[in-house]
Amino acid sequence: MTGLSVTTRDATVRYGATHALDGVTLDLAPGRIHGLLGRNGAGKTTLLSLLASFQRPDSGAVALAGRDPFEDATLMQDTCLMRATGDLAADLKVRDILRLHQTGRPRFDQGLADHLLDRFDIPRRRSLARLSRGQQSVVAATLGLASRAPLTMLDEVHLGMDAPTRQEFTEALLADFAEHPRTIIVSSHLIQEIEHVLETVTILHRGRVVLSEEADDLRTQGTTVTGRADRVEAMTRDLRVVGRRDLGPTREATVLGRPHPAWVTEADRQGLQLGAVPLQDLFIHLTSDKDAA
Amino acid sequence: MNTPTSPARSGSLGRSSASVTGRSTPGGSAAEPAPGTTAGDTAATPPAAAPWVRLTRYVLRCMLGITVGTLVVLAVAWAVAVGVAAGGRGDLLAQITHYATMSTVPWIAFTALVICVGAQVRHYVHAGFTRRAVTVAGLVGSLVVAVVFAVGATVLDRVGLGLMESALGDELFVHEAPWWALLGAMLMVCLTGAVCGVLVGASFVRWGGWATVLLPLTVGLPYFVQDVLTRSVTLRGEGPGGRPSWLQDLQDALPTAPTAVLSLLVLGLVAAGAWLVLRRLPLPPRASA
Amino acid sequence: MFDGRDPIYLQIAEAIRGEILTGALQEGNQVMSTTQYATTYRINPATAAKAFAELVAEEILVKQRGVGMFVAEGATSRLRAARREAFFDERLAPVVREAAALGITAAELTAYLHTHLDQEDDR
Repeated sequence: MTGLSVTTRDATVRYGATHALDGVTLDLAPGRIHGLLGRNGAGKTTLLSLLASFQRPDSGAVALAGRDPFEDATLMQDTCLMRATGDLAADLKVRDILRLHQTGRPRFDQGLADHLLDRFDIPRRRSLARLSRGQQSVVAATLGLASRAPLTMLDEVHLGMDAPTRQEFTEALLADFAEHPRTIIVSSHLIQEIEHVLETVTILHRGRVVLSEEADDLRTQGTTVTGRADRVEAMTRDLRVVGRRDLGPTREATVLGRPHPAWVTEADRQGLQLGAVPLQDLFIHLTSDKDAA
Repeated sequence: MNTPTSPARSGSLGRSSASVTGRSTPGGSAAEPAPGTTAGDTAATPPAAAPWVRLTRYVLRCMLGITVGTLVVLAVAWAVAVGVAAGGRGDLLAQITHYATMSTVPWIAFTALVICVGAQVRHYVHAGFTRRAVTVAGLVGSLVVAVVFAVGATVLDRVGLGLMESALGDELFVHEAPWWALLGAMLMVCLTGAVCGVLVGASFVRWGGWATVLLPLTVGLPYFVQDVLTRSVTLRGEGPGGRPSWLQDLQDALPTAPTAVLSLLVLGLVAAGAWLVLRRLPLPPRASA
Repeated sequence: MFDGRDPIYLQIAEAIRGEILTGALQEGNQVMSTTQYATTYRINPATAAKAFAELVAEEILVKQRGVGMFVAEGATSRLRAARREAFFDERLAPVVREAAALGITAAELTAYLHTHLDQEDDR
């Protein structure tokens, strides 16, 4: 068992008149780290809550390893969704929350949980509500890792953590993932920090999937062209420019699409530097409402 | 540094992965997982009890914490009552204590099940349990609490009241019903109270504040009917005892066997109600605080 | 880090090749495990594994079961040979073509190369 595969077909969730999810069809392979990106309200948490059997789609279907997870005892104990706040019992002491999740998850690693909580000095006898935002996030992230669930979903668990803490958790995640491969879905607004951790990237916008691809393929979807502003402009005149940044006389333009080899040679000759489009830029472009029409 | 520096093992590995899990041997010769394979495979699920068994144990432990304190308070009240009675007067206090205890016990069961099961559905599902497991744990937990409380109440009634009587040297009001009838009646009332707790807690998770409107249905009516039915057994042939005469007439007119069937039916309805609310309970993500 | 246009695993492989060419990694040295590599640079372990697989296929690294990955004997010379070939094919050939197009003679080219290679030697 190296993790659960994830499949959704036309999954739709409505809250009143608004579509939180609008026909989401998605396939995520088992045993990999997948990224789920989207702006606030794009439907990320709703999608993850379907996979975690918190609720069912109003229409469409969800399957883990080919089966509907809702009320499937094996799949539900093998599926763990952690958010920074909101789902844990805030009035319980940390050690009691730990005990509950240990009770519910046969693969729970108490040693790993203790290690992480000790490292970040989390007081176990205090109730969750009396911890700082960052400490609450540490508890949630710890439970997510220590559960060792074949489908582990970490939804913005970094909220409130400071940069060194986030870094250590990313390292802990990678180390534990390497030792205990499983399907992991990470959702975060700090795209630059997790970009290289992800094997695939799925972007949701307004309840729809706008992109779901291998992270490596994504890198070739666009190019940054950096150099003298006038040369950059001349070279990118006929291309789809989605972003420009100026630093003195130097301009960096972001173009979409795979450049032609002859164009690359010419750009090189003109002393322009070509680079990969940061995922962040691609994300901003794909989820900007100006471009929606 | 902008490029990966020396990947030499001899280099400093200050942030070695090994220290995170404490499993590998930092700086040693940890096995290199072959690319594409999954060394350190997630072990098969370790043998564990069925989810509902694990959850029931957790729920019982939770209820133990809540009920023990309350039961201690009740025990102290009894001791004080017996003490005052032994001091000469105090038969009224003894009576009050007795009745207060008997009618309080089912509500302790109710409260325990609200706190430890009904209101926790979200957290239990979050920890990987099915709604079915939560329901089964709630019903089994209710049964355990009801049995313990019913036995305790019967003992209090028979033994405790006897203690009071001897302390007072006076006759107290004692049920004429046989001990098994009293035990059965207390069991049904406590069980109904407990299962109502599961239903009430779950309905607040389901409908939020609107569940207040449903309280007459989720606990008021079923508990009242169960109370009338069980008292028709324990109070049979006794005086009005503060009851309106129509109620006394009704309770005296109910034959025992049909009463038992009706009582089980009420319990069954509450349990079915709890299952209906829980089985497909949607738990949409709450806005993070 | 890893902001080139190539897939990350190719950039990692290239970085390790560079380490070997500059001598930072000697033949016979053990390299980090994929896990260590992944946590140190905070990249996906599968990506690191893919880079190592690439280098194993090129016989730059060798795998010893249960022990780890090592820089292969002869890796440096193999890399040098490959780089030399690539240098002529990918770097020099276009220059020569362009020189021909501009009417630069072979004598002019060799004279230029001599001057600059001498300067390079003096440094």
